[in-house]
Amino acid sequence: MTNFSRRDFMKVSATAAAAAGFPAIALGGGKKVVVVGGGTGGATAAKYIRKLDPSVEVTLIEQNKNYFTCYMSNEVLGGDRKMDDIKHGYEGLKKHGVRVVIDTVTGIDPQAKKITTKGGDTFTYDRAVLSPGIDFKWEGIEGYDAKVAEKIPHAWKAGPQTALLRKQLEAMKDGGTVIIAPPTNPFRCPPGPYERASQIAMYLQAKKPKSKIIILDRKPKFSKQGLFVQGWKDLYGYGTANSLIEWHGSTKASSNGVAEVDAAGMTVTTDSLNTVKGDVLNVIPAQKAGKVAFMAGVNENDWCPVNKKTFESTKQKGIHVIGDASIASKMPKSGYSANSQAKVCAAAVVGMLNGKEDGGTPSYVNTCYSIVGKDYGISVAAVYRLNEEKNLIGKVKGSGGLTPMDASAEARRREVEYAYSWYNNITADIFG
Amino acid sequence: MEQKNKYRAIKAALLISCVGFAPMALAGASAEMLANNCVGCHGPDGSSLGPASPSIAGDVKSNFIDIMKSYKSEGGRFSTIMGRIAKGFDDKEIELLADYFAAKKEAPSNQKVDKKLAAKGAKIHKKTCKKCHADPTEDDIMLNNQMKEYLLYAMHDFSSLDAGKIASKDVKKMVKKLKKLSAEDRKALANYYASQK
Repeated sequence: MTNFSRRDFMKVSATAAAAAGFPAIALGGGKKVVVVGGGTGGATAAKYIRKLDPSVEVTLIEQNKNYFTCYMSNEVLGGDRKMDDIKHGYEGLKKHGVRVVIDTVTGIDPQAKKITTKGGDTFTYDRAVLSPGIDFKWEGIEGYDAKVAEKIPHAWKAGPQTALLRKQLEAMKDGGTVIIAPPTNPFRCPPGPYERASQIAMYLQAKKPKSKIIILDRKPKFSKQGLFVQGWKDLYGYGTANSLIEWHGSTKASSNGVAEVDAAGMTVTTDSLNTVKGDVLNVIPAQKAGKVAFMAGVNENDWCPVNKKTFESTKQKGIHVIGDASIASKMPKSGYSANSQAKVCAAAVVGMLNGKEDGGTPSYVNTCYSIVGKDYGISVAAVYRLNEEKNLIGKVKGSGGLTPMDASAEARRREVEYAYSWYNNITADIFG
Repeated sequence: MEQKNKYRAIKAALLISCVGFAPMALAGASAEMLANNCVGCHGPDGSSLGPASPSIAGDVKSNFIDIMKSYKSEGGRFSTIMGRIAKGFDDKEIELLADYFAAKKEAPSNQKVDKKLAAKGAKIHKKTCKKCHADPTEDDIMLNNQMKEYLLYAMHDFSSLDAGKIASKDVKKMVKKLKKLSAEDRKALANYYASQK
């Protein structure tokens, strides 16, 4: 903490150089970082690398001009938010000196340290940071693929899929059935499907109260289950004949996971061969790391093993992997996890570019809010430290945990306000 | 306090030499690294964009430490989530964070305020609160520019306490005063503080 690092030296010399009219970049010794993926992890990493060491040239390659956050996209489905409220651009990152390239990565060569794009450009790097997000394992569900998803949305990457699902909910008649099929573990945002059911129930209760949501789950249990079930009982008649939500989990003997989708007939068939007809189908397939991870060869089966102190891939030197695609156990695959990992990774990248082994002792955090209904929020949180012996990002003993089951109505109301505050603040931290 | 820290440092040094750990293994996370864990909820450099999470930029060090320790302790300050998070940081880390955020300048919150209510709040502040919450003093709990919602939560929580069970004379006095304020008065105060830069 007291030593005057090379990083600080760089800062001072860069300022001096700028004052003298020299381009600051010339002093950096050409340190280049390319970040692939402008979601929560990638955008945070790009910004924080520049914050920590302005002499590093940072290029962010992202295929879309705008990013729609998955978090709070369930509120678009419930109707409390519009698509524009979850849309973010890259102007903020440009102000931090990040070079933003809107293009699709087509190749990564870890040996030559080169990244090529569809637009025909080649980018060289000293270190690359991949934040590839997720891709879907379509092969797990008969009759379902990217093409069918244009009719039967997964809406598990926010954007046009979210808008489509909302449109279908709006068009559905009162008395209709919405089927939600959550994926198997591990997947992006573990409480997400259940918050989604809650948000849709809130909408149906107000506009189409004769309707029903059926959750067909291959899992025997789910994230924040006690709190969700309590919320559904409090708000949506869960457990009664008139419940807006039904959850059908699975046991070893009998699975309610969706095995087949019939897009023409609007039915799904479960592993146990029950066929259920719906008016709106939301099928969320099992997941794996995003395409870019496979391109770079940083995956081991579906996900990407990393050194949890630096997030450098254990498969390819010089490439770091953060966010949902990485194996960062025991952090959940969440937006806040990706943001937190990106900062640890940025410190490591800057440290390593400046001749150090890593970025110092890391500290990680995750907070995850779910909005079950009006004035009804629940959360889970934890502060994490690295356990190098076990190679685990472990919870600090005694920290974290869930909203208490006996929280007052006032506390639940505040959790919604804090969820909104979290959204405003974290998106400013990422994109601002 | 200093004596205690010195003792701790000696103890830590002994531990290193006895067990033979490399000093690297004992180096904790930097203030900057720890602060990375706060800004997702409390805003860039600790200046919150609201609507409820309080700003922590520019917090007086001693207050920051007191509040964090209170969140950590059994039966301490009420919270929805901070109690769970505060338990993730030890005393040394809390001190690092306190120094870090004390050095940050709070950005104007630019909240929407009801001017009429704020004017009423100014009067209540002068009459009821100013004596202790005089700005700006070293020991002042930062109220100016704070999030309106958060101020209302804090007033609600303090006024719900049993004054008889509070050890601190100052807090006891405040709780008694808050109990006498109407919901409208509290709203006025929140609007007044929120309107102050």
